[in-house]
Amino acid sequence: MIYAQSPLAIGIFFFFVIAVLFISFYLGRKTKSAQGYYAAGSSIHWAVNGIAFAGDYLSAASFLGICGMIATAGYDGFLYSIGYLAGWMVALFLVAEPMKRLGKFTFTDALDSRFKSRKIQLTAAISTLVVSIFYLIPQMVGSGTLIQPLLGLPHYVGVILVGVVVTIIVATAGMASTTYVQFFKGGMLIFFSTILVIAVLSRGLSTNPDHGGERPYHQFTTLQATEAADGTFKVSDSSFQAAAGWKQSVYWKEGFVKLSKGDRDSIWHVKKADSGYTLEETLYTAKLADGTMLYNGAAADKGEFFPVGHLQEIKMDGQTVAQTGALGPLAFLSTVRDSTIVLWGKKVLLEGDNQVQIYFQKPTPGAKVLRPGLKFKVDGATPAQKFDFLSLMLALFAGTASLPHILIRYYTVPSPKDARKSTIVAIAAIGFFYALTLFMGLGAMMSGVINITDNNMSAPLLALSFGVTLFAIISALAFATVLGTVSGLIVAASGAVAHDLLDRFFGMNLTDSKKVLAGKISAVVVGIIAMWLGIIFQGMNVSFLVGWAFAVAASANLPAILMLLFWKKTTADGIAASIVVGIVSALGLILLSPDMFVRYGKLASDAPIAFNNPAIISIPLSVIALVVVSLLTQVRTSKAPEAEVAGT
Amino acid sequence: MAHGPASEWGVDHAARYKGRLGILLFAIYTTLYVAFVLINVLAPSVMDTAIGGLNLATIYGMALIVVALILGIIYNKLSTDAETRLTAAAEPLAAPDAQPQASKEDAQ
Repeated sequence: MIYAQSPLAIGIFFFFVIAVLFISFYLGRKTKSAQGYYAAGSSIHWAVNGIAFAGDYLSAASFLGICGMIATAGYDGFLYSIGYLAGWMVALFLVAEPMKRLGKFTFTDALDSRFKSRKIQLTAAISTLVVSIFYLIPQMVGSGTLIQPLLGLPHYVGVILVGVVVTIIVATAGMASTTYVQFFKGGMLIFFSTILVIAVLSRGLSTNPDHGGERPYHQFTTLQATEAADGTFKVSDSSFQAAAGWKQSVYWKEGFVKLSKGDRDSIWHVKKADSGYTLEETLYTAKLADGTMLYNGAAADKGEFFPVGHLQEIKMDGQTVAQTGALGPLAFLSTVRDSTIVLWGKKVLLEGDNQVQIYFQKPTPGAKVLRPGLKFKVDGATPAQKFDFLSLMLALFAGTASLPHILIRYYTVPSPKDARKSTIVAIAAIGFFYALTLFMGLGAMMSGVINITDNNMSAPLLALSFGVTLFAIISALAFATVLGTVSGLIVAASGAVAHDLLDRFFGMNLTDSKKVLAGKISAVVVGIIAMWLGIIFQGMNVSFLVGWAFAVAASANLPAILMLLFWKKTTADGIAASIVVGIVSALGLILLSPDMFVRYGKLASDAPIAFNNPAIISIPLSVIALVVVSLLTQVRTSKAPEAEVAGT
Repeated sequence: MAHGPASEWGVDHAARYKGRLGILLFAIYTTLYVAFVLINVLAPSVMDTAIGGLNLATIYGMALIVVALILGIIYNKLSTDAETRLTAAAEPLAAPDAQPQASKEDAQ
């Protein structure tokens, strides 16, 4: 697909990003030299901290991933919003205050404070490293997604751009994500998303989403065809020809047929009609054996691949209309519910050595869009599919509190009351934002803007349909958010390597300057790994990737944290075992999952397991490991837990 | 990510109360969440039930977001009251809602 580059958009984008970076550096310097803003009496107001919390938490995954999934699969994307938010209940009610009372706020430190065990140091450091890398993948994929429509550069350019910029920042100065920067980013993200939703509601719905005539929407063709007596495939429009072996081809078996017109091949979805067949135009990509990608039979820049997203029929208050006017939020949802939307199914085939992905039209009643079932099958689902659904909802619920960079915010809160209040502000802000995602996602679904090969772009492209300025601002905010999250993750990961692993565990006793050097080298290595992974996972919905990260984090960390806080018989060996079992089982199951197999270039049905999210197996395994090993090692830790040491 | 030095919270007299309250509220929310998940897995057509112009799925989903906020507010209110009450009972001569000392040992 071709995106027209606008100098204005690029200008606004760079201005915003540089402004955010500048503010972040400036405030970061000030904070470091002023002995911390935590001097007596000058604490940050809980409301500011709360919005900063939200800014910290709402990453590319929320904005791009959830909207993208809602835009293509409806309510199933909203499940992510619900799950992510529900996870705050674990953090607020179970983990935050007790952890804070231990006097520690990183996962590793908290575990270490009670046990001082080398095994825990090692496993917790590895856990931080693995979870950070997993959480980096969706951010890197998201950055490629943002750059593509903005600068017209391929996905990998965006990934490398973020990777290089952040690695340089982290390796040279270290980015302090100060509260005010996060407050600013979080506040602006919510503000502009609200503007976008108001714009969507004002535009209303239309069966021909041409943005007020500015961008004609591709009208997908339907043809008729019959099988002639001599075995040839006769199409009503005779400029289309079918190859001789059409009935034996892999396409026909799956319900498609490949036609050629001139030098271009197109694939059509075949439906039986009264006399012969009806052919519906599809979109397809083909990855040839040598790696070239063809879009609808032509190279990417030929513009033969169209954005999609339209309503087939709109029913408002019982009447069929072609266009509604402005709608309120409830009217919007109920109109969607009564209408029919054209969604797109995907079929992956192997034609010889080429991997072909076909996107075909699937008119879907709005009622089905507004409830779970389109991506995560629930109606008439197989046990494996139900299993997958349960697993996902568990991963989301358990994941929030397992992320090290969430709890760390409680470090600087002056009192339990302020901690609670800022959490509530955060929950309100995040909850409101997630409610907005439903409207942004649905808006994108029906505005003819979706790139069906990469639904991550849906929200920015929706903004684009309202004008370049909104698009540039929102892309810039999302990009700055990605920069912040990526830098934090690289710092955490390189810290785990340099400080926890090399210095403490391996006892290398590095001098300060060597430690810093080790940190920088690890930052570069982690950065390179992250870039590579970000390129490989192009096109995968970022929320889905975060679902994986959450599953790994929850399997590795949550049983350890909860048992440490609530079960007296927990031992160091038990915790170490639980972390290892959690990571290995979660990671292993992910690598064997159907969606990973598609990434490997194979078919989903080749995968040995049938579900994508490992949480429902890996979390219980981790708990069992902890309990069993703790009970087995009870004898060794017979001394009573020491009185808590304050500070440090 | 540098967030500054850690703050210290003084002795927390309401710790046990808050711990139990937290577990209770967590249990309430988890029940609602699990019910949501189970309905979708075991009886998905129930989610189609019309309520006003919307379906149960949308309302339940939005409700889970709103209820999270409400429970958070309840937790805060009850916890703050407990802190005031239990601190006053334990340290009757100290001011209620005592802030931790500003001048800390420089152990950090």
